[in-house]
Amino acid sequence: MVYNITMEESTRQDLIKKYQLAGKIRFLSFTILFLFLLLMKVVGGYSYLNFAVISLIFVEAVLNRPYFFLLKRVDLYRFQFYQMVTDIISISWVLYYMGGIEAPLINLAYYVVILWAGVVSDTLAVFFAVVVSAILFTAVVVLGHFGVLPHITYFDYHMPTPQMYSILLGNISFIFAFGYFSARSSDLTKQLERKKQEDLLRHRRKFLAAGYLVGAIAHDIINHLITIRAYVKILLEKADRLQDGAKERLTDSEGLKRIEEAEKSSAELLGKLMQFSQNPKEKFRPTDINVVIEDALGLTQPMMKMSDVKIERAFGENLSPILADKDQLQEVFVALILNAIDAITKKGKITVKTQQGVGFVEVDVSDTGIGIKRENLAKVGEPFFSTKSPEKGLGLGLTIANEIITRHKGKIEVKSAAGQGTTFTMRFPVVQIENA
Amino acid sequence: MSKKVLVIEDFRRVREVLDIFLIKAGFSVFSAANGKDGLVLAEREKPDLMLIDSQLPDLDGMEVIKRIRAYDKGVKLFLVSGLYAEDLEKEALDNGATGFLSKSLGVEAIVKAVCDILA
Repeated sequence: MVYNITMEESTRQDLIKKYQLAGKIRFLSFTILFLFLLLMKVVGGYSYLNFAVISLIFVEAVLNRPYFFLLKRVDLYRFQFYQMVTDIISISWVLYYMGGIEAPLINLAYYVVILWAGVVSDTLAVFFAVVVSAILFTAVVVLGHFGVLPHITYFDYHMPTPQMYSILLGNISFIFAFGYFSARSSDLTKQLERKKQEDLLRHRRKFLAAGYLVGAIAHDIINHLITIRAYVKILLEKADRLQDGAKERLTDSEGLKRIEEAEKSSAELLGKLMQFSQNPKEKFRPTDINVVIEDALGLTQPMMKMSDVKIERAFGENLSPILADKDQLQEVFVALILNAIDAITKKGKITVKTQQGVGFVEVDVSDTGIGIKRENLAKVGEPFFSTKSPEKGLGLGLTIANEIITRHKGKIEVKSAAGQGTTFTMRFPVVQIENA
Repeated sequence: MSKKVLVIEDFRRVREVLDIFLIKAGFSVFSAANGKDGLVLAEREKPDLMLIDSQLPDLDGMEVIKRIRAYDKGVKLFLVSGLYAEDLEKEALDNGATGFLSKSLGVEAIVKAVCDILA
C-alpha cells in the first residue's frame, strides 16, 4: 500500500497540512515538556534530570520549527520514518532518565507515535513504529536493569529480574496490540476516505465528459429543432394556399413524418444526456452487457459522426447476464469509446465484440487509431496519465474504468501497437445461478 | 440567370430544408455533405454565396473558408453554427467570412439573410 508513489498533488497537499499541524502540536508539547523538566530541575532539584536530557527535549522542540519549509521539499513518505526514529529515541532517552520501567506514564508517548503513524501513514509505518518502540523500550529497561547503563531509580528500588521481565513482556505485547488496532483502524478510515473521493471523482469526471458530449448533442438537437421549425413553416404555408399544389416537392404526410422524426431524435438525445448526468447509488443487478454497450454507443454517437469514425458491432448472442451496475459499466464503455475516437486521427473504425466464455463474458473494444507506444503501455490507467492535450482529457478515463471493472470483479487488458491501433479486452464473471 | 448558392452542411435534414427554402427564394442551390465535396463543388460551380456549417465531419467550416478565400476574394462566405459563439464569429470574420449566422435563428432567417446580401 505505497499510495504515496502515485499520490496526487491534492493528496500531497492534504498530507503536508496534516504534517504541519502535527509539527505545531509537537512543538507545543515538547516545549511544555521542556519547561516542565526545567522547572523540576530548578525548583524540585531532581538530581537525575541532567542537562543532557533537558537539552535533548529542547532540541526536539526546536526541530519542529523548520518543518514548514522542510515538508515541501522532502519525500514525505521517507521523512516520516526518520521522524519516528528521532521521536522514539528521545522518548526512550526521557524514559531512561525518568527511571525506565518505574515511569510507566512515559510509555504513553510511544503510543502517540504509533497512533500518529496510523493516522497519517500506512500499515508499514505503524509496524515500523511498533518495532522500533519495542526494541528501544526493551533496551532501556534491560540495559538499565543489569547496570550496562547506569541504573537510575527514583524509589531507590531494584526490581527482581523476573518481575522486570514480566512487566517488560506485558508492555511489549501491549505495544504490538495497540499497533494492530492503530493500523487496522487507519486502514478502514482510509478505505472509506478513498471510496468517498473516488465517488466524487467519478461524478466530476462524468460532468467533464458530459460537457464534452453536451456540445455534440446540443449541435444535433439544434439541427433537429430547426428542421422541425422549417417543416412546420412549409406545411403552414401550404395550408394557406391549398390550391397551388402542383409544384410542391413535399406532401403533408412527408413533412409531418420529418417533424415527428426530428422531435423524436431530440427527445432521445436529451434523455441520454439526462441519464448520463445523474449520480445514483450503486445498484448491482443481472445485466445484459450488450444493452449497456448499446447505450454507451448511443451516447457517443454524435462524437463518432463528427470524427468520421465507423462503429462495428460484433455482439455475441444469448450472453449470460453479469452482475453489474448499469450506469457505472456504461461509464467504462463511454470512456473506452471516447479514447478510441481520440486515438483515431483520420478515418477509422471501432470494433466492439462481445462473446461468451466459460464462466465469463468477454468484451473487446478495438480501434484503428494511433496505438499506444510501448513505453506508455504500462502507464495506461494511471491517474492523470494522458498523452492528449489537457482540453481533451484529464487522464482519468481509464483510471475510473479500471476501478469500476475491479468493482465488478472483472479484468481488463490492453494490447497495442503504435500506428496499428489498440484493443482493450475485458472479462466479467457471469451471474452464478444457484441450483435449487 | 439566378444566383448560385452552395450549402455545405452534414446534417441531412437541415441541408434538405435549406435547399427547399433557397430554391423557393429563387436561387439555384448546390449542396454538399462534407468539406471536401463542398470545395470541389465550389470550384466547379463558382457560387455567389456559400453557407458553411462550422462542424463538418472532415474539414471544419473555418478551414473551408480559409481555402476558398485563398483563391476567391469575391464569393460571399457565411459560417453557420448551431450555437452562437462570439469568438467563433470573430474568428470567422478574421478568416475572411462575410458574416456569421446562428442556426438558432431558424432556416427562414438564414435564407432571408442570403436574400438581403444577394439582392
